[in-house]
Amino acid sequence: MNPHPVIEVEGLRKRFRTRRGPVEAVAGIDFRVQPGEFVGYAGPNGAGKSTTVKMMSGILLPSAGRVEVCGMVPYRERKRLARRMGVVFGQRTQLWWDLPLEESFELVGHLYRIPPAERAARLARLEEVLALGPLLAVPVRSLSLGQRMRAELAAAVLPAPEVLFLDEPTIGLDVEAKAAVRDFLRELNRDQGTTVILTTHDLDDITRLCSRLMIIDHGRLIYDGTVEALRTAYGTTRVLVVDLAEDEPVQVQGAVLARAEGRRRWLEFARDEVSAAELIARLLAGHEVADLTLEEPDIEDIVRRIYRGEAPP
Amino acid sequence: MRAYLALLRAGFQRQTSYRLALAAGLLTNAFFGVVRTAVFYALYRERDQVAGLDVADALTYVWVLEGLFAVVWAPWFWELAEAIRSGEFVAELLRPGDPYLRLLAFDLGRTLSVLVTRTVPTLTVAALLLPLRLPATLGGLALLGASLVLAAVVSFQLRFLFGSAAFWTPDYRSLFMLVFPVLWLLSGFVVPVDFFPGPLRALVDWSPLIPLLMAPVRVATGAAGPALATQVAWVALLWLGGRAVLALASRRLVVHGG
Ligand SMILES: Nc1ncnc2c1ncn2[C@@H]1O[C@H](COP(=O)(O)OP(=O)(O)O)[C@@H](O)[C@H]1O
Ligand SMILES: [Mg+2]
Repeated sequence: MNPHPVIEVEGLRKRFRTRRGPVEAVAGIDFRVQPGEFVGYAGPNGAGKSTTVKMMSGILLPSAGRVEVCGMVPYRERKRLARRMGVVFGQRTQLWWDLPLEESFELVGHLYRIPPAERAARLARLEEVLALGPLLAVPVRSLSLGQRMRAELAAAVLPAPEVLFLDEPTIGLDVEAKAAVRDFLRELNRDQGTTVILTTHDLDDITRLCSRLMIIDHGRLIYDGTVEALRTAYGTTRVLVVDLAEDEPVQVQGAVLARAEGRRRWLEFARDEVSAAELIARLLAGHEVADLTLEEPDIEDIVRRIYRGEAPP
Repeated sequence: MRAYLALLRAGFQRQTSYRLALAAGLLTNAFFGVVRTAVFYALYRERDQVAGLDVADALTYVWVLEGLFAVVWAPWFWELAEAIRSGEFVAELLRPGDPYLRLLAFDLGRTLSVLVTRTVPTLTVAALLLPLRLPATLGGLALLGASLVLAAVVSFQLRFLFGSAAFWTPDYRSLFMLVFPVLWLLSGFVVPVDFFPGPLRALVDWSPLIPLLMAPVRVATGAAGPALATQVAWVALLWLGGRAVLALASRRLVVHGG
């Protein structure tokens, strides 16, 4: 059933020696990623996200444990893996700083031995999706951060990698640029089946894009599952928003009135005490309802609580 | 192979697009060339030969020096070191192919641009106005061309080694400034190496500084064989050295984190 995983990580650790003593940046993590997955890798600053990505892309040697990407040990087979993997680091450029963007793409084409016709076809698509047309003649150093990130993404996917590592690609981008990057990644994953590992501390990126979420904190994986499952596991309170037919006091067993505004009521209830269906049934038994919606707990809230150690893992 | 040729071409185009810098560079070369020419004419007023060089040799030395100045002391000397410090160098480890060859190809593209737009015009104009000693045959000129390209290659190889210091210390510039005056003098950028006292000259002749300036001067003035051989030998040695340093540096980067 399961195809061979694109990424296998087992007992992976990285310890740095610093002036203030050793730092365990990654403290033993395990996971597998299947082809076509879109994985969000979240965690507060200094949690160990970049360190993990560096080990997976082969530019950092693990202190212990095992990592395999596309069946290769990254640091040992870096050059071979480079042909099948794309990497984008938000703060660093991989384009040629002084060259017009167009020439950077041409060089990427040569370095990855992409046949010219194919390069042209792929570039035409990328130019359209990422709106690169007006930027092609501009030297990379003159691009804005948002423009440059679009260019970096295009260069990284031009060789059609099987797996794409993105380390904070939306950092410092404005709303519009973020949206462009997200749309592009969603399409890439859906249409090309590219496996994407997206490191970010912007949970919005993750809820909008990722089928799977991994949270790392102090070098340890503290969550690995779907965004939905995280809500179920940690978001104990949900809210039923009700628009009553008439302005009247409401009382439903198992729910607490959190807020009232005109004929609208916010009823908070615990997931493990009462189901939404049961609560709605009780509500409808005593009141006439014009409309209702169920609000799931805010993922930002949940994750913030997990970071603070308030939510039990 | 095509990738490296593409990098060479990109480097060439990149450097050639700086028109204003080119004009300023040509003027600087002309100015210092004239000053040096005057100094050497003064030196040769009283005698025909100094350390085996006659005035034509000395003038050839002056204008080859001017022509090669921006090749050897490339204005982009510290770009590699800066990329190492900023972490951008890591991109080189994430690409397929050979990083040393990639850097060499791009750099050689840039120095070839300097050779074409600065060295050749400077030497040509000087040869038209002054009694230089340049090869009179096409074959001789081809050898001079080869020697200039080899000088550019060695220049990259040495700059690569100095830039690599940035892998180990953020203070790479101070380190270089310490040895810079010595390099400057010994590579022949003050007076020809031939003017040095015997033992020093013998020592310098065995150093990788010879391929940078003195070898092309000797190829131009007639002693092509040994000078070219010295250049080729140093390219080979520095090739091994450069790759060894790069392997050590990459290893260090991969262990300690970029
Ligand atoms: N090269 C390094 N040398 C020493 N410590 C490092 C190095 N790289 C990262 N660290 C430390 O390891 C921890 C994890 O860093 P990082 O992986 O960059 O976190 P994140 O990307 O999640 O913000 C931090 O405490 C950081 O200071
Ligand atoms: Mg990071």
